[in-house]
Amino acid sequence: MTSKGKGRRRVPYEVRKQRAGYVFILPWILGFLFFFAEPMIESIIFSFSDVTAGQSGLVTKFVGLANYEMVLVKTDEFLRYLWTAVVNMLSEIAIIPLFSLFIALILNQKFRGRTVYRAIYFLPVIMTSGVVFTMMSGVMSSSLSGTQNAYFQSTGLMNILIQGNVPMSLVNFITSVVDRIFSLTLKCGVQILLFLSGLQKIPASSYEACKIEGATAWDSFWKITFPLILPMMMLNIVYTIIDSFTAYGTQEAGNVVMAYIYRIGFGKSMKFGLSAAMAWLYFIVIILFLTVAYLVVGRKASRIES
Amino acid sequence: MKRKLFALILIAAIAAAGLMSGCSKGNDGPSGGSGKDISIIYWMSENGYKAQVAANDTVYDPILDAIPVYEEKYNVDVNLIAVPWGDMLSQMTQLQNSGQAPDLVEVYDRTMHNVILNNYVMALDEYVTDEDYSHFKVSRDLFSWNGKTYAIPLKPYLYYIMFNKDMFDMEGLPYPDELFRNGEWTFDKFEEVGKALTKYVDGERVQYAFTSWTEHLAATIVSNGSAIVKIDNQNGTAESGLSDPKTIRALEYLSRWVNPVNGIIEISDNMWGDFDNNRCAMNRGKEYPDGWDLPFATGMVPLPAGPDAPPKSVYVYPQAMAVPTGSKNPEAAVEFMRIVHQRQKEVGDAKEAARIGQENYDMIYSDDTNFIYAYDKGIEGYDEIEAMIYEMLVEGIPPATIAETIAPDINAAIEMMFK
Amino acid sequence: MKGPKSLPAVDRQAIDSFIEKARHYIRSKHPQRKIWAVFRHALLIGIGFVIMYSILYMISNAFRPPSENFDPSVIWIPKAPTLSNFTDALQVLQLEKIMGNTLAITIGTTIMQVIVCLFVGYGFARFRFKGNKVLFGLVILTIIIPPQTLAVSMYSKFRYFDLLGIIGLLKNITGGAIQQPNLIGKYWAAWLPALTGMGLRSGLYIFMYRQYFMGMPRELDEAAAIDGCGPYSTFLRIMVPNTKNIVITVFLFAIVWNWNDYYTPALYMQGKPTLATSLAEFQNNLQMLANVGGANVDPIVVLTRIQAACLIAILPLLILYVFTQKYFTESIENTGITGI
Repeated sequence: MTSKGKGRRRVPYEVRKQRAGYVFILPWILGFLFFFAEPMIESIIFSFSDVTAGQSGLVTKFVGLANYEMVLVKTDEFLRYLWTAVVNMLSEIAIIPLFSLFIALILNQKFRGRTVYRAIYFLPVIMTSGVVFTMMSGVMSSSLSGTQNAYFQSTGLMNILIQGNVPMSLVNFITSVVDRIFSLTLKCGVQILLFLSGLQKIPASSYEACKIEGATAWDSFWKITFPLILPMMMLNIVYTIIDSFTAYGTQEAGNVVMAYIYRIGFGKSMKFGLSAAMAWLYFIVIILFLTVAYLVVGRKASRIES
Repeated sequence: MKRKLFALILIAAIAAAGLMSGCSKGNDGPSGGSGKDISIIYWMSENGYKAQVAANDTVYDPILDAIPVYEEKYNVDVNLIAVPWGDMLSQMTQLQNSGQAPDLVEVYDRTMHNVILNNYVMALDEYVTDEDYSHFKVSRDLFSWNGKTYAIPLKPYLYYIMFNKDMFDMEGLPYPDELFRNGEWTFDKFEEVGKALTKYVDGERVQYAFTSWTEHLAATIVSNGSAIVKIDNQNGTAESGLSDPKTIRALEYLSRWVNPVNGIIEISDNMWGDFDNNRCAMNRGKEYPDGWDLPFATGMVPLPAGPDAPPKSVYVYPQAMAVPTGSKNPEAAVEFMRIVHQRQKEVGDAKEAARIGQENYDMIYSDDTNFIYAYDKGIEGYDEIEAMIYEMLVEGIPPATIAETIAPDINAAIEMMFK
Repeated sequence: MKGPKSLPAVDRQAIDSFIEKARHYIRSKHPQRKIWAVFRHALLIGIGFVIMYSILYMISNAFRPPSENFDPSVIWIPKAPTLSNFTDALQVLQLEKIMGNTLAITIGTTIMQVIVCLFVGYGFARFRFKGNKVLFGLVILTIIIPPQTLAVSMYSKFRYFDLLGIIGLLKNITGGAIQQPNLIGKYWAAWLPALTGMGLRSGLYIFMYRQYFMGMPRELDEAAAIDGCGPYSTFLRIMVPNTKNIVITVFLFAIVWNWNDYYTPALYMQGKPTLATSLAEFQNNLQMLANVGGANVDPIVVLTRIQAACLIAILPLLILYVFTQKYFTESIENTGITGI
């Protein structure tokens, strides 16, 4: 199939490679156009329309920015939920990457029982997807601090604080912080793994070189580990943002914005137009945060890589 | 330059795919509807019903009981689509949106106006007569909007109070159902009886009168002839009912009842626990009272009536079946409902009497009782608003202030729904 | 019997080296290191307990008879362990009905995703074609946008499944003899998107594959080219055999997420309940069993059975995890993903 001689063979091969590239991604292109692009465009149209039922399909009536106005100006529920989700995400970004890095550093050292610990720390990934987690999360974390009064009457941090005559508002604040920390440890599984893999790439020789020159562990962390782990940190932050913003949720637990968007569209309100407008606003917020993350961390990371 | 060209091609491809796929949409689907075969969306399945009836033969479901009767009469198959209660609405919208609308779906206080306003159910005026609305003491107006009727009623779901006879005996109080029969079961009497039944020891409440869920707030307001959201079905308008004087009066009673220092009722999720343990004398009754093994004698009575409502008022949850817009057999659907009404008269009423006791049945359904109800729970965030009202009542905020504070939230929700 | 004499030279060396070893031994067991080791174990155990707490809580509750649920004297071990929660949960979940669906959907989509995303990821990684970056940006987009926003149009798309309106045309031509197939309630509603790289989180797998392939040295390509391989045979003969680790990784992630997925079966697969949808409706279905009818179910009765049902739901995954745990935890390390 290929003719002899380097010169004549190179040009057709490059072109063939390009075409082959298209062939490899062809299934995805079909899927994207059919299962994603079109519903996406329809969703955008919905966000600018009033959507009601017709005889055998949906009837859309163009209303311009009315839906967006309703969501942003006239009612404040969406903004409240959005604020909750953003605060949630910020607390997750602040805690999860650093905590996972810490754990990964520990688990990277060689000691007995390391594989057992790794197995345990990765277990939440199995359990924190979807229905099971939402059903369990409310009961689990709050039972540790005792906020679920109906179920744990005599145990828990909350009761200890109350009996110590701590004012109620402070008790609520402390227990909600404790709840949050506990539930966040369950969301770290994938991030710990990512950091572990990043740490393994750092050659041991650089650490030894440092030690010979008399650096302490603290120094070697900041001069070697931290810069080299920055790309992985960027990946972790991006993953955490996306995971936090798109997780499954219900009205009480998990991601409240997603649940609200779903509820407005598929719940009793049946306002597909509003639901679509909210979904697109939410999407813009996500992109905003990703952009900020990239500008703050990503640029440094790619500079270091090259 | 080449990059721009590529981007243009990509956009064109997406647009083309969108247009072409759009052209093949909006089909009518398979031309079903050869007359009498209908499909119904409901929350109980045939197997579930059989299991329940086998366990307790006073169980009666109007729809599931009528299906075999209808099938035999017209020699067709009824397709029952059973989904969980909360999914009925989304199931209906999905089927409707892809051209396979069912012929009947259950609607209730949370979904009635939503399906009408979003055009998911059709007006039934050309198929129904006033007689279809005469079986139960619920007015046709409840199922109408802007002058047209959209649903056919089922027998209303009863919301009753179950009381502990022994505790009433200990205080020497008359039983509530006697009071009801004499037309004396009002808010004031409830408060009087409740105070006698409530005992505090060292500032802690060891016994109290009544417990229920948060929705009891709405029930109380309706029992005084008003509602949190006032809806005028004839003219097709809705507005906040919080500032209505009847609502304010009901809230005043409630604020005394839920007072944490000397209140007589408790609003909680764990309501049956306290009743079982003799800590409270009355609670919101379970649906099948005889399936409940209790060591003391009990009785049943409707909710007390407010000062602005007739004294023998019975608070109920009306339920109804509506016909989706895309249904092919609306006449058959109405026909089915007529059979449901007929069976209810022949079989269902007797079973309900057997279930709750003939005396109670006669007391509730006698001619001089007045059914009181409201369909105001359609707005988004209704439960949150109820919870807010409850918290403010517990904190002792006066009802007029509560009405003012919550007014913007309610009005926003009403505007979002009713536009 | 020999008296003290001066030690022979050899012995002195032995003693010196022994002393050296002893000093080294003591230095290595420096107290600082010991303290750190103890602290490390304490920390890991503490946090590990929090993680295990949820499983232990689930197990404890699932074996508890409902009457002991609010009993404050029972902390972990129930006084009268019972299997009744499990039998009830199994009955309500309708295991026989859902198992077939769950396996078909989960395993089917997982295998399809693993294979298709492999191809697509390779395409993005190793070929410089026009629009590579733009299209890959769109791949990332598919991860960010949640499925519910697209659910309504996807539903009608599956209901009247048609490619570019061709079948619609055929329908008009043949006067209705050929209809658009209805894919709602059929496994194809889940398989088709997976086959075209649009399955649940497929974008993420494409990303992982792409990073992996980008980490493979260019020399392999050139060597293959010199040997006369076209792009396809390069892929099949050289790249694929090296992908064992990444394939296993993607497989494990995919199977976990697909197993627990609620939205896809709930939205498109009516009539074919899976474990996730059955679990979500568990509380409602439970009332069919309990003698308390209607929508008001006593929360006490329900809680222990919910725990049992959750345990049943994740049990296969836990078992899989126990056996393949090594692959999970070491998987990402071996895939060469280094970050953005």
